[in-house]
Amino acid sequence: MNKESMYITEDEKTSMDTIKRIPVRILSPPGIKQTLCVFFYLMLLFQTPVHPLHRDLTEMSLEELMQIEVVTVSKKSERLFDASAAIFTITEDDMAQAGIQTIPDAMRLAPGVQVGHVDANKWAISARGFNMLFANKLLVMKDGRSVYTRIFSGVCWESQDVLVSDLDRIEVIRGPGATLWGANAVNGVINIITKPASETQGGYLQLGLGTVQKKALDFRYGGRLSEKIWYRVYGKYADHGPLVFADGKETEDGWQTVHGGFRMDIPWSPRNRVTVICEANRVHTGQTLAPDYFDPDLQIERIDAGRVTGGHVLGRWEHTFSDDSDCAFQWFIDTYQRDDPLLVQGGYQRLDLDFQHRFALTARHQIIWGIGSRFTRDWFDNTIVVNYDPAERRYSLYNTFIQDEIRLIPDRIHLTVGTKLEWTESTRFSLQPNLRMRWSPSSRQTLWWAASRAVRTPSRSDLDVRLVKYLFADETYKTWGLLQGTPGVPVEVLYAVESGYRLSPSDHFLADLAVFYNRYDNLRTFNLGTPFTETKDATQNIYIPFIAGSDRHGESAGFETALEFRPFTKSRMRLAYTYFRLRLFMESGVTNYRGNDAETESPQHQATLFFSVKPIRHINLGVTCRFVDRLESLSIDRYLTADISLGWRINRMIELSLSGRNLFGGPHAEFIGETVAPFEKALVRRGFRLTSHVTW
Amino acid sequence: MRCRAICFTILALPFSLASVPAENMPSDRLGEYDVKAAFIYNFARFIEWTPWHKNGENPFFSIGVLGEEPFGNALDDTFTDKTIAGSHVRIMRAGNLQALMDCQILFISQSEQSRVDKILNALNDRQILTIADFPGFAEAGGIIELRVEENRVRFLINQKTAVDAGLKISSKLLNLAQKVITR
Repeated sequence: MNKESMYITEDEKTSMDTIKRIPVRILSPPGIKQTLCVFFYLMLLFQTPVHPLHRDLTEMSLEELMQIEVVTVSKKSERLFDASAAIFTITEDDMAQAGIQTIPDAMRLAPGVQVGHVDANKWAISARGFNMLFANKLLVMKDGRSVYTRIFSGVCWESQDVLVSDLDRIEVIRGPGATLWGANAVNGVINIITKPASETQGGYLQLGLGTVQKKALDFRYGGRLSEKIWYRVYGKYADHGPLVFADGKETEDGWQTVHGGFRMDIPWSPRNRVTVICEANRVHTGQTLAPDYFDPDLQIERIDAGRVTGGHVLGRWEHTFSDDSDCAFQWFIDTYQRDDPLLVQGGYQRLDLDFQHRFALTARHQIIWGIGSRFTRDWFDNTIVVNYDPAERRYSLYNTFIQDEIRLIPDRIHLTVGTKLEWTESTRFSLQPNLRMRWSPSSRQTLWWAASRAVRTPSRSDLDVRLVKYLFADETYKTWGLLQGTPGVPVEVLYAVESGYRLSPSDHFLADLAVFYNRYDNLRTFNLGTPFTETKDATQNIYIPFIAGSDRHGESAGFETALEFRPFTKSRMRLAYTYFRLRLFMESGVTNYRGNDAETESPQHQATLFFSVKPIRHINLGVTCRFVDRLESLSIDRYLTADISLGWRINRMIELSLSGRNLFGGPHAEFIGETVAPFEKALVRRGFRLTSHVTW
Repeated sequence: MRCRAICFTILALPFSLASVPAENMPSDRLGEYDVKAAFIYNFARFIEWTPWHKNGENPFFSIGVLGEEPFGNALDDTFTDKTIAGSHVRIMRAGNLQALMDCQILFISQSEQSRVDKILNALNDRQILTIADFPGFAEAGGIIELRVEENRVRFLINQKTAVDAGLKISSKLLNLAQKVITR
């Protein structure tokens, strides 16, 4: 498996430039020193990578050579540089060097992704705008399993814990990926991929102590049951401290998470491979509620607690027919339950089946097609804030897709045409086609264009929710806001055009630029309806309803750039900058709950500078500076802060690291959850953490 | 000259430091193309080469790489200070076949896969050992096809093309081949 991010070209081929300049290299005869000399320098400048030859292979017999295991140049990494999509990869190394322990924090390294802490255990994460607590236009997959839930229409990030040491990479694809990945891959797709068990052999124990992430214990052991059965068992416990209020006092949103599981990888024949993953988790979250959300007569405790339990089993069988033909069948069952008596009580179970087949129709046509289905059952208990009607629902989703990669000029111009057809009960059929083209003038340059249509299927909340919010009261009346779902509300539709350019003039430098224009139709609104009164327990209640509709459209545009410079092998510098604008247009006569506030809920400018260096052997220093522009409608100011991580590798087994997060600028708010749920505004603060790990 | 060399050295210094390989490769495994280059070296030794040069003309044993080059420095490293049939080795790289028609070994890169029939036709039974590492090469009339199976390098030989090209492949090589195509 490829450990390097897309543009690390250590394994890359010699550039065409080098080839043109030095058509013939003469090796041993004397008298050509100058040529060699010039060549040597040119070689250095153009960096043809040198692999360590541990042994002189030419002294080995053919029989011996045939026994040597080789690392194949990952096709994936080539494909990423050549990908006709805005893609960025975060590796385990990136996370280790930046001192990052959680996936939301890792996402901050990627260009074009907006990450905001809502409170200590809640995040708003999106790409290309529309960020909120349950950002609904970003699809997140973990080892091939969608963790996007149609119930809350978003991702419950607190349950997505992972051992950083077992993580292979996080692929961040900005822009629609619906043709391959399916509905809700509207603004982006995030793929969290862990290593196969064969790459996590042996023991690993990590202990962390800190001021914000207070205690953490990671454990993993990997071994093999027989020659062909690799496994690992793992577990993690973490106790995270709370954030702070504006006055500097600690909130009550500290949380504890424990998860454990195992993974087996069974390459039982050269052509067949089976993977089984089984995991369970339990999260205990604290939260501080915003007081003015509730009826003061109820005297709600502001301090609230929730409990989340979940688990999944996933099986995958991959079969290889030949080098350019393979298929995979995957199924998973997962379950999620959230118990938060004041706010939401409910959960779901899902069964998902998926089949994919890739083959070369002709030398020029590479086809990939698949079918899939997902069956969901969910249930809710009423709380004083939310109830669902009906309280239980079963729904299914069927999809099929086909995509053809046409090598118009092999390795130079490739055209990808494909579409997905998806069916759900509430939205019937929706078509999500895309057209992509890439042109690689040389192996170090890629230009790409894409046009796509993607949809977001309405969430359970869009269809069936009834959410009440206390507004105010006088002597005779209590006034409430009522957010109400509409059965049959249509899908949100995106038409996107994108273009990008990647350039890697040498292995030390990479530039990646993507520009996009998105047009959204049928965007979700909660339209002001006619107020009505209701008498309950001798109290007169006035309800101001806001009813789910699809009465606005919008357009967004922006660009994302990432520059990476690696002056030396052990050091690198990466700069990511994102510019983003969103305009929303309401149909006339419609009053939306919260108007067009979403326009300014994603930062217009965002920049990350990541710098990692090994000043001395065994010492690694990672510095991350982050700037996020203001979010006007949430009254959140722009902030600039930095994270520093210092790692010391004591010996082959033991490593120590000290990291500090949010070091500058004092406590600051990153996002507010109050727009969708009654969570008090919380500020992130400076935190330090000492971690040590042992491998054996 | 010396001055220029110093300038070059200073300019190239930061880059030469960078050429220390990154620690991204498990130490018990080797790069695919390092091993493939060693295979090519062995192929060259297990073939009986009839003299390819007339007196005084082109004393080198030439290995050509056609198309985008996957080896990095592996080929050069492998053949440094080596002789094949008594001749020093030179590595040539080109995008078109014409420049490589005088080679003894021709490695056809994966980038040329789509026009492999044309290339093999153009060679027209010359005494050239053709090698490639994309699937179907031996079936298409190439002489040796390299494969990676379960992370180990394997090879196929098309004996018929070899005979047509006037190459005598040692029986040892034929025995080790995963498959020998004879028709």
